[in-house]
Amino acid sequence: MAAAAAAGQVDADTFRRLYPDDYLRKFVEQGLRPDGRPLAAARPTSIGLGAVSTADASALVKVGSTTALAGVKCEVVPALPEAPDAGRLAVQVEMAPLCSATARPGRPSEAAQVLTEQLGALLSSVVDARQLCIDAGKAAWAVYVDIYVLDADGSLHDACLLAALAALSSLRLRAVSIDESGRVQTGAAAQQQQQGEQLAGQQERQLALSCLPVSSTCGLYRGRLLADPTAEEEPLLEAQVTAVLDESGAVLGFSAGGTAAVSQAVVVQCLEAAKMRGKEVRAMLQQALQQAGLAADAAAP
Amino acid sequence: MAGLEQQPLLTDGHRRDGRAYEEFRNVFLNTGVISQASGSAYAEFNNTKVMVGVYGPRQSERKVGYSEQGRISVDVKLATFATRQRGVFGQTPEERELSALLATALEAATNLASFPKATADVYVLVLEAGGAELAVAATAAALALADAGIEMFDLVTACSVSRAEGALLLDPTTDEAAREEAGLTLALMPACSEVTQLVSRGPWSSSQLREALELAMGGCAQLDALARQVLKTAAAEAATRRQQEAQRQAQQA
Amino acid sequence: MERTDGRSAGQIRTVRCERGLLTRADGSAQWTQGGTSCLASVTGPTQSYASSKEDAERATVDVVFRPRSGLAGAQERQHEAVIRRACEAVIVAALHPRALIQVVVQVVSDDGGVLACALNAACAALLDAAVPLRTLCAAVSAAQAEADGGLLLDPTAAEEAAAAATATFAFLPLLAGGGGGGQDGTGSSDGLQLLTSQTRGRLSTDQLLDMMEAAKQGADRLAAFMQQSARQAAGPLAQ
Repeated sequence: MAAAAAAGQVDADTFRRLYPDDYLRKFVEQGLRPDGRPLAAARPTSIGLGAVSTADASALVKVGSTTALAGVKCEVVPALPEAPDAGRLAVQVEMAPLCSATARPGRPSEAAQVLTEQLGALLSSVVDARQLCIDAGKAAWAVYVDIYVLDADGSLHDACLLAALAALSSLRLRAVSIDESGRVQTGAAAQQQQQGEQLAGQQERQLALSCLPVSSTCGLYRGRLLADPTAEEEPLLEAQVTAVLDESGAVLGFSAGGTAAVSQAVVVQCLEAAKMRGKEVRAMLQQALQQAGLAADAAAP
Repeated sequence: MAGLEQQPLLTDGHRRDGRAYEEFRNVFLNTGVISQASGSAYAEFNNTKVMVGVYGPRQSERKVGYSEQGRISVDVKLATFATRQRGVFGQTPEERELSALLATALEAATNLASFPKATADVYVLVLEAGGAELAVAATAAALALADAGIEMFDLVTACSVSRAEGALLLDPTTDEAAREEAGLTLALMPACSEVTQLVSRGPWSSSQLREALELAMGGCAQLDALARQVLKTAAAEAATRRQQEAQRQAQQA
Repeated sequence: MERTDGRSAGQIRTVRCERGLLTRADGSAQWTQGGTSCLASVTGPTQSYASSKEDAERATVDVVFRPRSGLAGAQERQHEAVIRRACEAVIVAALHPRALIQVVVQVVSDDGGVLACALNAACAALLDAAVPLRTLCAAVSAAQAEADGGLLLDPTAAEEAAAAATATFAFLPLLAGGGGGGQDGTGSSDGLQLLTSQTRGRLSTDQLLDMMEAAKQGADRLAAFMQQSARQAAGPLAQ
C-alpha cells in the first residue's frame, strides 16, 4: 500500500505515472475512465474522406486521439495465370514511427504485421476480387490499401478497419481501356477512346462491398469491461476482446487474448457491445459518404 | 493530359493555381496533433501535407555510443500514396537524403548541450507530396521540437524558391519544381537572421541568387510570424487548461 | 454425420504427445493431431539477449513460429503473437524477473488446425522444461462447413478450405485450487474459460457461441489427456 501512502504527497500527474494501475483502478471503481468516459462508452469518432488528393481514395479516421489514415492506390496489372478472372487486393498497415514511443523506423513491428494479417483477411472477404477483373486473362486492377497509424492511442484495429472501409467505400475505379497492342489508358482519355472504338475495358465504377464490418474492442479490467481502451489502459488490461460484426449481425472476426481468460458471459457482452457500436459507426460512415456525394451501395440491407 | 505539360506555367502574372509569383499557398500549421509524442506538428501547404512527431530527448540507442552533446535523429518517410506513382514502404535514397538535409537544418537551431547523451527523434511522415516537401517538413519539424519543449536558439522556418520561365516563384508546387531551371530551399532562424540550411539546385547567376535569397528570406519571415502565433495560441490554451484544473482541484478541496 | 476420415463432427483426431525429443533445449515436445504435427522447444529461463526485451518485474516470453517450409511472413508473426500471449498467461512469470523464456515452434506437418496444434505443443514443451506454470491451456480448432452449416471440430486442411469460417480457441482449464493439480480429474467443461480466440470467415453470433461451446468440450478432453500425460511423465515423482 505504498501507493496509497504516497498518494497524499504527489500530484495527480505524478501518481498517474508512478502507479498507473492504482490510478486506473480508482477511476474504474467509480464507474469512470481517466478521460471522463463511462466504462462502456467509445471515444468520439470522426471520418474524413478524400484527405489525400494523390490517392485514388483516402480516409482519415480519428477515434479519440487514435488516428489512422488509409489511402488507396489502383494500378492496372496483368492478370495472374492462376486467377485469370480476378484482381488483387493488397492491404498493409504501417505503424509510422511517429505514432508511438515504441515504434521505430525500419522493419514493420509485430503489432503492425498482426494488424496487416487480420485486416487483409477481413477485407478480402469484403471485396470480391473477381470484380477487379478488367479483361479476363489479360488485365486486372491491383488495389493497394495502405493504412498509416498516425497516433497510436489504443484500439488500433477498430480505427484501421474503419479507415480502410471508408476509403474503399468511397473508391471509384477509373474508366479503363485497352487497345489491341495492349496499351492501357485510364481516366478521361479511356472514356473518350471507348466511345470512339470498341475496345476492351470498363467505365468508371464504384467498388461493391459485400458487407460493412465494424470492429469493436473491449478490455477486461478487474472483472469489468472497458470499451475502446486507450494506450494508457491497454497494458493494464487482463484481456482484450475484439469483435468484428457486419450490418446483419454476422461475426467476421472474433479475437481474444490476454493474460486472463474470459467467461462466456463476457463474450456475449462484447458481441452485444459490438453490435451497438457497429450501428453507430455505420451511420457515421453513411453520413460521411453522403457528404462526399457518394452512397455506399453495400449499405442496402 | 499531354497538353497540360506543354502549357506555360505562368500567364499574365499568375501561376496555374492563381497565385501571384511571390505568394504562398494556403498555409495551415498546428501543434500537439499526436497524443503519444513529446511534441508534434502538422503543416499543410495546400497539397503538401506533413506530420511530424518528436520523441525524447530519450536514451540514445546503444550502437551510437557516448556523446557529450545531444543528438537529433531525423527520419523522413513519404506515405505510399503521397505521390502520383505509388511509393514503397522501405526508405528510398531520396528520403534518406531528405532526412540528412533536415537534420542539419534543425541541429544548428537546437541547444544540443541541453540534453547530453540523449537523442531527440524527429519522425516526419509526408502524407501528400505537392511540392516543397523539404521546406514544409523543416518548418513543421521545428514547430514540433518547440512543442516538445526542447531548447532552441530560435525557430526554424524554411521555404523554397524556383526559377521557371524567367520568373522567381515562391513556394513552388510539384509541377513548377519539375520544370524549374534552378531552385533553392532556405532554412532560416528568422529572429537572428541566421541560415541553418541552404540547398541550391541548377545554375544561378549571382544577382539572381541574391534576389532569390531575398525572396526566400521574406517568405521565411512570413512563416515565422504564423508559426509564433500558433505556438502562442497553444501555450495560452495549455495555460487556461491548467488554470481550470487548479480551480477544480481547489473546489474539491 | 460422418466425415471423410470417419470421425463424428465433434471428434478430435488421434492425439499424440512425445516429450524430451531434443537434447539441447531445456524442454521440448512434439504434439501430433492426425496429420498435423508441431515440434516445440523451450529454452530458459535464461538471460535476455537484448536489454530492450527485459522486464524488471517478470520473465518475458519470446516465440518463434517456423512454417513447414519457406520464410515466416505476416501470418506466422500473428501466430507468434497469439502463442506468446497464451504462454504469458500460463507461465508464473513473476518468478523469473529479467529472464527470457524462448519458445520455438516448428511445424512438422500441416493438415489443418496448425495454430491449435502449435499452442498445445508449446504448452507441453513448457511443461517438459519444468517452467513454473499456473495452469495448462488446451487449444482446439473448429470449422463451420459451407454446405450444410454443420460444425466440425479439429478440421483437416481439406475441411478448413471448404469451410465458411474457421476458428481457433484456447481455454484455460481451471485446475482445482491448492497444490493438488486437479485430483478431481478433468472437472466439468463449465470450468473452462476462453483464453485465446482467432476466427476467420463469416459466422452468426449463435454459430460463434455454439462453436465456442463445442471447442470447450474438445478442450476439456484434451486437458484430461494433458494432465494424464504429465502425470505419466512425472512417473515416480508424482507418487
